[in-house]
Amino acid sequence: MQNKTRITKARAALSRREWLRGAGVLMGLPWLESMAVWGHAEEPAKANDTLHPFPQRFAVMFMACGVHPEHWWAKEKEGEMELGRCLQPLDPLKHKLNVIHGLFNKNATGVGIHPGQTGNILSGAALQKGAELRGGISVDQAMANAIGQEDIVPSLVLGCEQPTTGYHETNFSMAYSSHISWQNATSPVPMEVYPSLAFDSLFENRGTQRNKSILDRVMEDAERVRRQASASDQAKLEEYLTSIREVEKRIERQRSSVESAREAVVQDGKSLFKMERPENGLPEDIREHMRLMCDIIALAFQSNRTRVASLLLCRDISGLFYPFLHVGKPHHLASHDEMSDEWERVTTYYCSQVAYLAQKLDSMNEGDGTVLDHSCLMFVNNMWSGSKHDSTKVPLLTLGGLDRKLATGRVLDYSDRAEEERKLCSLYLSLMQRMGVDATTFGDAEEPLVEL
Amino acid sequence: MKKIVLALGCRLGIAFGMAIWLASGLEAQEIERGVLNEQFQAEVRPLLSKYCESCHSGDSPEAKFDTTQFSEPLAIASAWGPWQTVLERISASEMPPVDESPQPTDAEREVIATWTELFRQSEAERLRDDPGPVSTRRLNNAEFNYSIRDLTGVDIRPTQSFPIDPANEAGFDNSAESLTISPALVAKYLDAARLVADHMLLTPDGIRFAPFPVVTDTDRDKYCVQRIVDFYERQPTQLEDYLEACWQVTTCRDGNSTEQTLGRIADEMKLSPSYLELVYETLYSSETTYGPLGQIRKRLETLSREVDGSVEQRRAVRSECAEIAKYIQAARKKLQPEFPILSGPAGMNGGSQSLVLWRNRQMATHRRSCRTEGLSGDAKDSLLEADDIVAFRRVDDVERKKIIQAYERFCSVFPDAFYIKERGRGHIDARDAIREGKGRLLSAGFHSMMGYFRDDQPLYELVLSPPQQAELDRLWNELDFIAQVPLRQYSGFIWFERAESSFINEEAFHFVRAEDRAAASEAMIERFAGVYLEKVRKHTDSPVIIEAAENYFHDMNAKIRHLESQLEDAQLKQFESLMEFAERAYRRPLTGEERTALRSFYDEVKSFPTADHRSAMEDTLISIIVSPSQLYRWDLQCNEQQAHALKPYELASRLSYFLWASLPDDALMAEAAKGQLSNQQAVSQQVSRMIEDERVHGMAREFLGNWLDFRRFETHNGVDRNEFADFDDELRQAMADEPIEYFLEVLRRNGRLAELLESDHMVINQALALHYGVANVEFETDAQWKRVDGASDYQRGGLLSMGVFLTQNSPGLRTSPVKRGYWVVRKLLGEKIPPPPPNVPELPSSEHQLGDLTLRELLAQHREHPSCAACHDRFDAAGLLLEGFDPIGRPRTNDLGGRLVATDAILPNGSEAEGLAGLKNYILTQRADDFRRHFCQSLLSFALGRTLILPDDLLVDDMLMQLKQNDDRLQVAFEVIVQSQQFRNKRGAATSSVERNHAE
Repeated sequence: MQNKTRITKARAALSRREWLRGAGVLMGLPWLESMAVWGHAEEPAKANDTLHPFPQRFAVMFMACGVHPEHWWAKEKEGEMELGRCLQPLDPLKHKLNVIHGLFNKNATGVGIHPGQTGNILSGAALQKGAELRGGISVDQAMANAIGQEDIVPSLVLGCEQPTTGYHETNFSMAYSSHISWQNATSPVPMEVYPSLAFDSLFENRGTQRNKSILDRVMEDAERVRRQASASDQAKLEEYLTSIREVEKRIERQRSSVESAREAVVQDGKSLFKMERPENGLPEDIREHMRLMCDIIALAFQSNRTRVASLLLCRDISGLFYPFLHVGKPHHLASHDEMSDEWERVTTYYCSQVAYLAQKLDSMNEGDGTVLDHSCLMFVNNMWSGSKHDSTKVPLLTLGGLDRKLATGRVLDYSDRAEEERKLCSLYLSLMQRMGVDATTFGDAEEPLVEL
Repeated sequence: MKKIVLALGCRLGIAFGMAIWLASGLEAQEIERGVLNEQFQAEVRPLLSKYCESCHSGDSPEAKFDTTQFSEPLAIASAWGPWQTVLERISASEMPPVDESPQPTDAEREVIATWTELFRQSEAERLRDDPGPVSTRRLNNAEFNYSIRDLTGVDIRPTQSFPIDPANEAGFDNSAESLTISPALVAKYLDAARLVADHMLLTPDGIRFAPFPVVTDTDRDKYCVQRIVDFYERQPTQLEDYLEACWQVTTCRDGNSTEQTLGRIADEMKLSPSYLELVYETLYSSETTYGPLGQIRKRLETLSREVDGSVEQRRAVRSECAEIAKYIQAARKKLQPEFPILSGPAGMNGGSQSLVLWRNRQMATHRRSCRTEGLSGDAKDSLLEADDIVAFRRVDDVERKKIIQAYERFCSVFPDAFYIKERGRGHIDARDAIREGKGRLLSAGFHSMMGYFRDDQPLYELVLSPPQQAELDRLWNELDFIAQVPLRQYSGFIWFERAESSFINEEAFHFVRAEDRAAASEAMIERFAGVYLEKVRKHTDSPVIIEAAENYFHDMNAKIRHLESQLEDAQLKQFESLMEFAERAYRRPLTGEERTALRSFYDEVKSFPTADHRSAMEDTLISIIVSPSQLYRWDLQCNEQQAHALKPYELASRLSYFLWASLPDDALMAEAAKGQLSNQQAVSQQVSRMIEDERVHGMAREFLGNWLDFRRFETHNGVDRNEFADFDDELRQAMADEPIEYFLEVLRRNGRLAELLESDHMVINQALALHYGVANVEFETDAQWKRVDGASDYQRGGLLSMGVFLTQNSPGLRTSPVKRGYWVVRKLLGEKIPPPPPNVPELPSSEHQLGDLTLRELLAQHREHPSCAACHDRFDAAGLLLEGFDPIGRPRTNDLGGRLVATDAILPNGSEAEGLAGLKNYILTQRADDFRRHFCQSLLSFALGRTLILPDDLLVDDMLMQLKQNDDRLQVAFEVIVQSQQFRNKRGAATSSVERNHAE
C-alpha cells in the first residue's frame, strides 16, 4: 500500500517547477558567487560586513477559518507591545513581531464562503468557479521565481493536511481550499504532507542527484557510440560529451558549495540545528506533525537550501481535530463557535506553532543576529470570523526584520483606511521589493503598503 | 599536342573535350587533369595575381577574402563555393571594382570562365556519385519538435524557447557544419525532456502522453474525464435520427431484406445498428396500440411510404421525427421511477458519500425501468394515457397485463437518459442540482468531496457494440487508475465525515486521518468501517441507510484493492512501453546492452530515497530523449572512409528526416526491418506515401522556409498594426503558411515546378481570402485551406505575389523595392549578391515622410553612384515591378503618402517591363533556368543536409534533365534525389574528396 500511493506523493515533492528551476541553475553563473557569499563558504563573513548581506528568507504559515476575535489583539503601551490572550505565545519575541490589522483581498470578498476566500490568499487573484481552475501566482512562488532560482530547492511547499478537489456548494473547486501556493494561474504547487519526504527533498532533488544520474547514463551511451565512430563523428560526439561533463561539473560545484556552506554554519555559528530524518509515514499526533514541518523549514533556512517556504498548517474547511486541547469538534466545526473557549485554545495553539518556528530561527546565530532577523515569517488566516466567514479583514502577523529591511515591534492598524490602502497584495509587494525582487505590481496591488 | 589542346580549349571547350575523348578511360582523365593544371598555372593564376591580389591578400585582405588561397586546382575544388562567387563577380564585371585599374580585358575574363567550366566538368566527372562528406549531428530544433510530436502523439514543441539554429552556406539549418552543442544547450535539452516527461501518463497498459502537462491531480482528472465525455458525445443517441432511419427502412423498395436495409441505413446515418434494429422492431414489428408506443406508431403511420425524393418531403419527415422524439422524452419523463434522497442519522450530512452513491446507483440501474406506482386505471393519479385508462377499466387481467407491458417496453426501449454527463449535488433539490451540475463533468454529486460516478447503462446496453463497450470500460478504468480516484475519494470521505458532517468526532474515530496513506489499507478500512457502522446501526433503524453504509466500505475497499493490484501489474507493462518508446526514439531496434542499461538505470533511480516508479520512469524517459541515440542523427555516422550503401534503418531515417523532418513511422520501420528499402521501387512507393502524409508539412516548412527565408515570419513584428489594422496574428500565420500549402498542393498533385512562379490558382484559407479580397468562397473552418482558381483576378498565383514575401520585405510603413527585389533575385533565382557596403544612406522610414521625391526616385539617385549600381541594377527592377503591392501585400495604386505609384522598370537585360506581369514574364522567359537550377540545388542541399560540393553538379544536371523530360513534374525532382548515389550512400567526412585525392 505504502509504495503504491507514493506515486502522487513523491510527485508532489518533486514538482516540475522545482525541476525547471533546478535545471535553470545549470544555466546561470551568478549562483556560484552568490552561494559562496550567502553561505560564506570560502570565508566566513564578518559580522558587520555590509557588502556581504545574509540571505533574506520568507516563510508563510497558514491557518484557516478565522481566529478568536476577542482575544486576537495587540496594542502599544508605553513603547511596549501588549498582546491579547491568543497572541501570548509570541510574547517573548514581541520586539521582533509586527501585528498587522485590517488587510484584505478584495477578490476574496463577496464570492461566497470558504474556497473563494482561500485559493487567492497569497495571490489576490479573482478565482474562477466550476471545473477549470484559474487564479494567480502566489507571492511565495513569485519570490521563488525571482530569487529562488539559485537555491537547491527554489521553494518549500508543505502542508499538514492533504488537498482535496471536489466541488464546494459555492461552485468553487475545493482545490482552492486546499492550496495557498500556486505556480501559475491554473496549477497549484503540489504540496508535501509527509515530513520524511519533505526532509529528503532538501537533500535529493532533481536539480542535483537525479540530474547527475541521468547525465551519467547518457554519457555511457555516448561513449558506446563514440567507440565506433569515425574521426569527424568523434569530434561531434566529443562536443556533446564535453557539454554533458560541463553540466555535471556545475552540478557538482553546486552541491559542494552548499555542503561547504553548511560546514561553515557548523564551525561559525555553534548553533547548527541538527535534525534527524523523520520516520516514514504520517505522525499520528498533529502536534508532532506541525513541529516536524517547522523543523524542516528551520533546517532549510539555516543551511541555505531554500529561502522561500509555505506551510499550510491546516486546510480551509479543515478536518484536523484537537483532543489534546479538549476541543470536541474538528477544526472547521469548532470555528463556527468562534467566541468559545475551545476556539480560543485552538487559535492560541496555532500562535504557539508560529512562536515555535520563530524561536527556532531566532536561536540560530547568523552574523550579528539570528536567522530570524534575516527572515520574514508571516502568519495569515483567510478569515477574521469563522462563523460569519468574514474575509473583509484577515488576521496577520510578521516576525523577523528581513535583514533590517522591516522595522519590528509594531502594531499597524489599517482597518479605517480606504480599500486601496489596505490590500494584502500591497504588503506582499512591499516584502518582495524589500527582498530585492524587481517588481512594481503584484496581484491587485500597484503600490506597496503605506507606512509599513 | 598539349599546346594545341590548350589553345583550342581557351576558345572552344567542346574541342577540348573531343581531344580528351580520343584518349581512353583513366589515361584520358590523367591527361585532362595534367592539362588543366598546366593551363591554370600558365593562364589563370597570373590573372588572379595581376588583378585581385593587390587587395585580396595579406594580413587583412579586402572583404576578408584572400585569393591567394587559390594556388592550384585542388584548392579550388575544395573551396568550390567561394570560387564560384569569384567567377560570377569577375564574369559580371563587378570585380575588380569599376573604379580600380587595371581592368582585365573581356578575353581575360573569358579565360577564367572557360577554364572553370572545363575544370568543373572534369572534376565532377572524376568524382561522380561521391556521396559527399556528411557526419553525425544533433537534430535541429524543428526536427526535435517534430520527432517529439511523432513520438508522443502530442505537439509539445519543447524547443520553442531555444536559441535559433545557425544555417549553413546554403541557408539550411540541418547540416553538421552548423549544428553544434554546448553546455547551455544540454541544460535546455534536459528541461525540454523534463517538459515531455510532465506530459507522460502511466496507464494500466503502458505509457501515453497528454496534450498538456499532467503533474497535479486536477490535470489528470481533466484529461481522463474529458476523454470519457468526448466518447459519450461521439455516440449517436439522437432519437429523431433513429425514427427517421426507421422511416427510411419502411420506404425502401430495393428488394433487400429488412435486416440488410437496417444495416445499410445505420451505416449511412452513422447510427448504432443494434439500437436501430431494436427501435425498428419495437415500432414496426409488435402490434400494441397501448401506451406511448401506440401513440408513436400512429404518428409514424401518417408519414408517407412513397419517397418522392424532394427536399420538402425529407424536411417534413425530419421535423415530424423531431416532434415525435420530443413526445417520447416528455412521455418518458413522467414514467421515470423516483428515488428518495436518503437522510442519515443525526450528525451525518446528506451529501455524505454512502448516501449519495446509494441513490445514484438506484437511478443508474433504473434508467430503462418504468415507474410502477400509478400504472393502473384505478389510481387517482394514473400515469396511463387517457385511452388506456378507459381500456384498463374495461378489460380483463390478461389484457391489463398487456397494457402494463406496453408501458414497460416503451421505457425499456427509450431510456430516460442514455448517460449522465454532469451532476450537481445529490442531496439537494433536483432542479437546483441540474443548474449547479453544469460543467461538473461525471461528478458523483458529493458535497464538497471529489468523486466520479458512472451512469451510462442504457448507452452501454443499447447503443454500443462490444468493442465500444470495451473501450468505454477501459476509459473508466483509466480514470480510476491514472487519477487514483478511489484513494482520493476515500481520503475525502474521512475528511468530510469529520470536518463537515461531524459524524466521527468521538474518540473512537481519532485513529483515522485523511492524510494518512495507511488509512486506505484493508485493515484500516475494516477497522474504520467497524466503528462507523456500529454508530450507524445504533442511530438508525433504516435498513437502506445501513446497507448503503455497508456497501460503501465494501465497494471502496474493493476498488482500492483493485487499483493497488493494477498499479502493481502495470509497472512492468509501463516499462516495456517505455522500451518501445526508446526504440522509436532511436529509430532502430535496441541492442541487448541498451535494454540492460535502461533497466538498471530505472532500478537505480527507483532506489533513491525520494524516488519511486513514476520518477524512475520519468528519469529513464528523459535519459532516452537526451541520449545521443535520440538527439543525434546516428544514421549519418560513418565507420568507414569509403562510400558505402546506407543500411535499411539508416535509409529509413534519411527518408523521413528529408520528407517529414521527423522520425520514421511504423510503416517505414517495418519496410526497413524487412530489408525492403534496398529496392528502388519500394523506396518510390514510400516516397509517394510520405508525400501524401500530413507530416510532409515538416519538409515543406523547413525546406521552403529556409530556402525562401520566411521561416521566422510567424513571429514577424515589422508590421505597423496601427496603420494596418487588418494585420493580426491570424493573418500573419496564414501568410506564413501560404507558400507551404501552395507548394504541397502542387507537389501532391505532381504539378509543374513552373507553377511556383506562375499559375492561375491559389491555395488560401479564410484569413487570406479576406486579405486578398476573395469573396464567394466558403470555408467550413478557420483552419481549412482551399484551392481557388482565377487567381490572376486578384493579382495572385505563384510565389511572387504571396503576402508573406511582400510583407516580410517591407520595413513597416513603406515598401522596399530593394528588399523585395533582392529577395527575388537572391532567394528565388539564386544570384549571389555581396552584402551592402557600410555607408549606405538611410531611406525615410515611412511613405508619409518621403517629401517631394517618390521612393523610386530616391532609389534612382542611389543607383547613379556606380559602386551602388553594380548590385542595385541587378535587383531594384524586380522590386520596382512589385510596387503595385502595399507594405502588407495588398494591390495599390497610391502609396501611403497619397502619391501614385509607378510599377515600370528597366530590367537588367535593358528591356522595359511593367508590374507583376512584367516580372513574371521576365523570369519565365529569361531566368527560368536559373530558377530551376537554384530550386534543384536547394532541394538537394536540404535533402542531403550539407552544402553542395562540386560533383553534386552532375546530380543537379540530372534533376534538371529529368524535369525537362518529364513535363516539369515536381515529384521528379524528389524521385531523382532519393534514388541518387548521394542520397543512398555515405562516407566518412574525415577525408574530403580533395584529401582523398591526395591519398590516391
